[in-house]
Amino acid sequence: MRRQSLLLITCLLLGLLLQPTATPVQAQSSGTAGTVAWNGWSFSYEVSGNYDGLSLRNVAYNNTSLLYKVTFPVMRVFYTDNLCGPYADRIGPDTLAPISWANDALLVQREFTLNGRQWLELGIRALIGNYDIYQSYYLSQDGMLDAHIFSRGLQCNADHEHYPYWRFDFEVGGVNNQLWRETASGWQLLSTEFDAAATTAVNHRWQVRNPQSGATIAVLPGFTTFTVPGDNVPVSDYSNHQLFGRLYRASEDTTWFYGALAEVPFNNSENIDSQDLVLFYKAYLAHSAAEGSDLWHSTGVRLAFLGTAGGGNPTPTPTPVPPTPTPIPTVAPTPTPTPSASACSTGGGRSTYLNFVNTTSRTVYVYWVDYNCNERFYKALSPWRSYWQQTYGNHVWRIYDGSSRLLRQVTAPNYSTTVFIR
Amino acid sequence: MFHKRSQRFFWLLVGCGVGLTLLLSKGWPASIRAQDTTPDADARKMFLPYIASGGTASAPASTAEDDGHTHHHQPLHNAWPPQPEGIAQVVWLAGAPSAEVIAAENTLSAAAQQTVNAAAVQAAVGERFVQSASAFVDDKQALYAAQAQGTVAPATVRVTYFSYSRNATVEVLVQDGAVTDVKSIPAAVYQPEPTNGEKQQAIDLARAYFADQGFDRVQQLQGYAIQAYQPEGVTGFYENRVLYVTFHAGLEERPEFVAWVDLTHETINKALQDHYQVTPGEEAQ
Repeated sequence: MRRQSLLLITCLLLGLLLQPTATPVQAQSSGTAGTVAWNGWSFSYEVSGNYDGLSLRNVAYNNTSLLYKVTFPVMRVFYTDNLCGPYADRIGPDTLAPISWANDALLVQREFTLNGRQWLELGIRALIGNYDIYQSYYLSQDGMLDAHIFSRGLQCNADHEHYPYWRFDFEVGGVNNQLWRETASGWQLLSTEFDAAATTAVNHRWQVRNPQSGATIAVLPGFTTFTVPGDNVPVSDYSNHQLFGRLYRASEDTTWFYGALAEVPFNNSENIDSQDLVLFYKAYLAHSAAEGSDLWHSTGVRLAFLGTAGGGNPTPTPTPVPPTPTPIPTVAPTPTPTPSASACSTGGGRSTYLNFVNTTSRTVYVYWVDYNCNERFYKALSPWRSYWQQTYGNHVWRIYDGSSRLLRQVTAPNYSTTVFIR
Repeated sequence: MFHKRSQRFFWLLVGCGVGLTLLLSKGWPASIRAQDTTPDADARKMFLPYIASGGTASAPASTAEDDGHTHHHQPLHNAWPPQPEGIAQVVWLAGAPSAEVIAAENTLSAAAQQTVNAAAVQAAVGERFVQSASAFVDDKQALYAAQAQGTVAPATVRVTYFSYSRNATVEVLVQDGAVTDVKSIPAAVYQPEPTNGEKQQAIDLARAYFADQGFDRVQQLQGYAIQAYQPEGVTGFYENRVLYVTFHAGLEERPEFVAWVDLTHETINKALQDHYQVTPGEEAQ
């Protein structure tokens, strides 16, 4: 009996010792950077000095490119009555912590089966103040990618709200993509940069498409698969989620430069139809202080590759819907026909404000482009200064440096926004 | 003899079966986590003397009406969450570092070192500074343009400092081993994430402050530090390098002491004992 017990213990120990060292052939990693080829997926991953979390790069599935990059640039946090905070949690090298359930590794990389589906998980743990954060990706054998965040901890004893952001630099079947959403009147193409609530699409039906190949990705809210059990995911669960569509610009692909208070910048009303599309997805978590400091809460966003048109895609083919005129009266002067409508202000917009922020080390000069396309000087803005400029939607503003070099041209949207000048 | 061998083989199978079952399920034996501490019944929040206010409160964040997420207390140290519940056939992946990863890490390390010795950088950061981070500048349009021409886009590394002497963030660009640009950004506009060294310094300053005030309990608590922001302005960055420090009995416990620590001047801006107050049926005060 004693010998039998020894055999049992030996096997148990062998099993435990062998567990962390099982090594498939195709995966490569070095701490928190490496490459992966798994069940049709291929990508590289890293935790960089940009402090944008665990990022995946050159993501492809079954030889179709899906993403140039996905990052987790920030999680903004606000406490009731600002008893402490706000905060802008940014995950990078000096925030990483050993993961106790992964043999104290800094990065979880494993595959598993759940509800009959095989998944690959990559995750990192970060300690930011008292926040204990687990940021992870789950990729399924059949083409789904869940970006997820778990968080617990209290910076002070007050209720607070978290707003995690993911930045998806899409390249679905190539660089030029379109963004669609389904509304009550059908599928709608979003042709210019936008900020929109997730609920502006029926049942969260947002899609990124390649107009040439028809390759399509559905952008869905996080699923119960990876949210903590005991809850479901009704439609109202993403009522606080937002999407921000942007045209890719290298100068805008930086670290989160915008602190705890600024919203996703760079909405210049630029064309994003069949362009290099970047999508920020903003999710939501709420944490009551009464629930304690050890409360885990989680949220996420799921990308589901739907294949290409005619390839069994159950999604109806989107039909462009002409934009609905905004029935809001304007107090702006009556627009005059102009030789170049794209470069001139036009009427029809509502009164709003632009917050110009000069982040350059030079004085910049702000001009309004009137209805006749003439530039009218408004403001000299010193380095690192900002000011709020009253304007109207559809009005065009240009910012020059001292050498008359055009730094930015902005068409004001129908809401207040911040314009960073870099 | 045969009977004994069969018996030994049987127990070997049983043992290995149990071992494999553990392997394919949770993997590690779970240990029960310590029970939550009872919230402090003292309803007072006692403010300590402070040198300067860290900013006034304004524009409270709206409270949630409908949870857009899920909640769970962690009952077991090694269990869900954040591990998914019910996973099976777990295979842990690991591997040797690739040549590309090693080369990239070497490039970043070399660039960071090169900036330290550059005269322009030394002038920008002054005598008191910290090197915060280094990362490749990501420009995929340049990358694709180079690929189209059959060339390789030159790698540019951004090395970020925080200068206490100048109270500014300093961004340095390095290409092909040479510093190509040095940009100074006021702390009020942007600050990099604090390094581990900065966080430890802030914790030490706060701990010493509380101890000087007679709060010996702080010596038994664990300190944590995070970048502090003001609830007003464009971005919320302070004009100085300010970290927010909390002291807890453990990671999963509530904060007992909190402080806003100005690392630029190595002073405490504000400090308080943050009792959690709950009486049945009432919210925290």
